Amino acid sequence: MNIPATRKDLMIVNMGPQHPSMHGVLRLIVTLDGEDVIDCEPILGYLHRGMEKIAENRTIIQYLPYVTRWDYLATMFTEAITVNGPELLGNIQVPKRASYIRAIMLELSRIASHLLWLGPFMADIGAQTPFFYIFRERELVYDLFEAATERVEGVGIIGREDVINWGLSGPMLRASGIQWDLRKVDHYECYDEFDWEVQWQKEGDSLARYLVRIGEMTESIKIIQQALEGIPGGPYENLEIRDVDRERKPEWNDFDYRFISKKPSPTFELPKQELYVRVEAPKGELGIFLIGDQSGFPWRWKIRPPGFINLQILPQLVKRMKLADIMTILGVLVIVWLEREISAGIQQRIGPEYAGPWGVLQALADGAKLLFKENLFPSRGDTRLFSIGPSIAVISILLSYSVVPFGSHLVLADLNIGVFLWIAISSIAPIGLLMSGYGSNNKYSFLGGLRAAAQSISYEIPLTLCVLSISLRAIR
Amino acid sequence: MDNQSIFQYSLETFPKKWVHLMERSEHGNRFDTNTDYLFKLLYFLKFHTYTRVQVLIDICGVDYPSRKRRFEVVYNLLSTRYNSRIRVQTSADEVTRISSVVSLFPSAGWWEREVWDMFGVSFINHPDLRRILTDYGFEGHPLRKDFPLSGYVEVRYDDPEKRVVSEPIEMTQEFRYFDSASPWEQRSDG
Repeated sequence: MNIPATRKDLMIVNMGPQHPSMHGVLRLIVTLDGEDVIDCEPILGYLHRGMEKIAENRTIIQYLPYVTRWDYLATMFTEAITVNGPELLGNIQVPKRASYIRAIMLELSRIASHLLWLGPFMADIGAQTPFFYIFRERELVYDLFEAATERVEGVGIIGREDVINWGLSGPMLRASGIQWDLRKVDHYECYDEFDWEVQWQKEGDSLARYLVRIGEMTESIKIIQQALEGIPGGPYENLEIRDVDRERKPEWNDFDYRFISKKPSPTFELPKQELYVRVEAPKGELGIFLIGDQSGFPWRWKIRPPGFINLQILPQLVKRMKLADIMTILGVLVIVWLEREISAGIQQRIGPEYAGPWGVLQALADGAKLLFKENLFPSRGDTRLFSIGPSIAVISILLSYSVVPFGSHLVLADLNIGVFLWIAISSIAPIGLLMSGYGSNNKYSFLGGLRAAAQSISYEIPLTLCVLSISLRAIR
Repeated sequence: MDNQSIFQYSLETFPKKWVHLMERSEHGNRFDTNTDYLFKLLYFLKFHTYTRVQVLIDICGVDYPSRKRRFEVVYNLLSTRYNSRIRVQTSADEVTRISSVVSLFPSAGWWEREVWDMFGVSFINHPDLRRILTDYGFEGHPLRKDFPLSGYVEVRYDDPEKRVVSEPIEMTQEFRYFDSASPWEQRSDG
């Protein structure tokens, strides 16, 4: 029998610009040697909207609605920096009360951005279900994943030298041992008056970046609480500047203007100077290089986005890594793109401290809760299906961990048919989704359940076919 | 060491011919240099002990059509050791080539590609100088002042040809230029 010759060509795979697990319209051209990644080239521009050229044709006030569309998870930061530039150029002082209000809004935005990164990040590294539970069960997921896999520890290490050379900023910088936070270094707004620490780690891997972001959320809460206690009274806008540079014309005292005209928005001249203003956005240093031209419109408005530069290091990171780890690394690089789904609401929760010492039994408690706690049932739905459905979905997926090898000898059940067992068990999950959707007696939930089941099946069928064909080929 | 001292120190230390203009202001200090000396100046700033400007934050292109060398390329730099920022600027026209600083600052790779794509200033020794933000097959350099805000072509999917085609733009509404003056002033004219 002929032993088939193995081919040693490199394979080039195109991921995107649309892809189920990619965040938005990023296109990656990946060169693979089997499972190892040799090279990865990102191709950008699918969301290029000409923001900088538009800025040259709008006054600052007219431009403000555009800036929230840069990074729409952290909108306060984009607006803050758009006004900071002209404020510094025109030497406009902001009252203390406004500065406190800004600090509160910025830190709330930081928490929102980090939380909304966390959900899809978990989805990327394999846990679809936690995406829906993330706002309630984030502690459970964190414990589960760190114990079960080393998908975040040791992955995507960026050293100190590389971080400086590649111009990274934000959590990427602080996870590699550099304690650099613009809020402390630049002393902007009123951050000096609060008692808070810069969150940083030394290792520079994905776990470190994860820890930095979680820590930042806690620090943000501290800042917000201190700001709320200490917020001063007084005006919140600089009332003198409203009337800047506008000659009073005599006809403005006429009937038409006094009783019909609306309050015009303040437009002021940007002096002919250059200025680079920056803010510590959740993803890093967001900066504007502003050249004024003695008119209402800026001459040049250069946006320095943190995500653009943080992405540039991707090809370096993924060399010699496994294909699946690209998702992990990309998740922590945190690039905001259009296709990302934004779930509403941020739930507050302290974390496990009651179930067992240090909350170690929380996983058990949560499992039990899944089965027993739900006390709101639809009056006319099928209550048995409704209550069992989620349990079936989660239990079947968790069971499949038993055959997944996390290391060369780290497998619970080392079966030869392990991969098929995994496919079989995890394919029970859509049944649970359908059960809960149907049992709710609500057509929207039903449709949601159908959609979720359709999605799971649409992944499983091609997956099974691929696995099947390879296994058949591998049998001698 | 703050903004002023590294600025002062570097002024005193490197050869005078490297810089033909320098400006210091409360909004930041800057050096204007020639394209010939750009690499040397950045090398000095990066490696010298008392400046140690190791982070390239941003490379920005600016178009001043009234000047002979119409483009200005601005390098925004940061020293984390001394917590100070400095700007280095150089001028170029459509055919001047600037030497790339990728070997000093790897982050310059994409910034220089963006300046090339948006302005048309090319860089010598750049490992991969091609477009980064505009569409495949796009012609023109959008951020130049003579390139209109709405561009020249629009794209649509053409069903008979089964592909995306580029056509000259058709605007259903004329571009309205909202002047900073009060809208009521225009009303009093007509």
